[in-house]
Amino acid sequence: MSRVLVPCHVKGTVALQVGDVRTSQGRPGVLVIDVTFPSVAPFELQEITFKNYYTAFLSIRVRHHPSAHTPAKWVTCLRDYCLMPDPHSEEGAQEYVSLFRHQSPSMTFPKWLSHPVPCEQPALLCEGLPDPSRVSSEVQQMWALTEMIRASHTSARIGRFDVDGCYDLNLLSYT
Amino acid sequence: MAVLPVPLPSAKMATVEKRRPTVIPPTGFTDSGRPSVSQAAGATESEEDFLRQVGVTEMLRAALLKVLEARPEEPIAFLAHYFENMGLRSPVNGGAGEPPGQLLLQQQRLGRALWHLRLAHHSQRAAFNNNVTVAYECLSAGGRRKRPGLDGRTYSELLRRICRDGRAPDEVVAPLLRKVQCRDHEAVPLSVFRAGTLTCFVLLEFVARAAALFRLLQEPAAAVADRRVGQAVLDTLEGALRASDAAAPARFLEAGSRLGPDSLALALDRAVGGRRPGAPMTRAEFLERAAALFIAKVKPVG
Repeated sequence: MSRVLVPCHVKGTVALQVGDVRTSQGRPGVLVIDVTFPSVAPFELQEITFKNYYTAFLSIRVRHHPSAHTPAKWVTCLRDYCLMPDPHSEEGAQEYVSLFRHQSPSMTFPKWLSHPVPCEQPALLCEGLPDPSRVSSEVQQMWALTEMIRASHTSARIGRFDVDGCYDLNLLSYT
Repeated sequence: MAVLPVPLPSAKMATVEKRRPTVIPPTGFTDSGRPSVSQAAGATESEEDFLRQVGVTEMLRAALLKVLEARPEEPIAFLAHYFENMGLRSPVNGGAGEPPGQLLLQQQRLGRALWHLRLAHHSQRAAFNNNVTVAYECLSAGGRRKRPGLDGRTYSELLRRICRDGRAPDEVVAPLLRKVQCRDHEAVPLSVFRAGTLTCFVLLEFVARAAALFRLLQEPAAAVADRRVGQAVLDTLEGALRASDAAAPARFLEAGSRLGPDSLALALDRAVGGRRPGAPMTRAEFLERAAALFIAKVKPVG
């Protein structure tokens, strides 16, 4: 599949900060770069390549036109993607970065679909084994009866005073 | 001067008429609307009065109540047995002649108590408890040569009879009886009596289920089962019972999941697939070992 460069127009950075730019001190931490595509023909974006210059985290939002009738909406493709593991170090500060489409989370399936629970399919039973559902039914009833009798015990004592069936006075226990 | 209202003479006479006792006041029949007040005492006896006098009304009422409580599958046969047992209540020769011996009386009492205990299935707990109380009173009633109360010997005899009549093999129930029987001389209170009889009936049902289970496991041609299969099933049940030893409520979920068809199928598959078949397991052995799992959970009398 051949890849085609899409002509785009990168606008100047705009600092996001609260308050007046001129009067407040300090430099803002978030900058926004707008990228527009002058060509009208629809395309599927596969890859974005750029060279980093001391940006630690990157978020990409795309204005998505699903069709001609529905209004366009903004979709976050990438959120806080880490370009520099340690913002105070040099690592990743001036790297070339390629971002691919599959990295965008909006393109992936919902989590529960992408990780189906591995269920052990019972292998084909050997010939001659009894029907498990009927066996299970009987065993469950037996278990229930045992549980019932375990639960229903009387605390009444019969008042025995002998030890091992013997009434020898010297061996009387006080149970 | 105010005068107190005097009750109408006719109403007063009516109450007096009603109170004249020719028969015991009816308990089941509502005939307050009937003009019985016009009858003079002892004159014409209606059929109703006759039935009431000989006690048939009360007897039939009690019989119908028993049927409603027990809900038997064959009500006619049930009623037949009921009336047959009624005859045991009063001495055959109405008091004249030699009264039946002590041994015969004891057997009669046992028979009657057994009959009461079998009226309702143990799962119909309210009816079963009622019957237990009646049976206990029947056995504890004092007689000419018998002191009131239930002694251990009669109680143990009753338990043996329950198990024997339930067609459970002796070697299967013997360990249970050893646990719940009482010494001959001991006085058995009602709570112990109830617990013991309930345990016996539940064991009988357990053994019946185990027998049905064995029929599922046994080879088509022979009356024995593959030892690996039988052992796997018993081990699964034992494991589930052990899982429910812990106190947390989640134990039931765990035990239940072990006994589900999928997990049982896996256990059976695993048991058969690796080992050579050993000596086959007989029905008697299977029942005995299954019952042992049940009896292990029974609290002994003490």
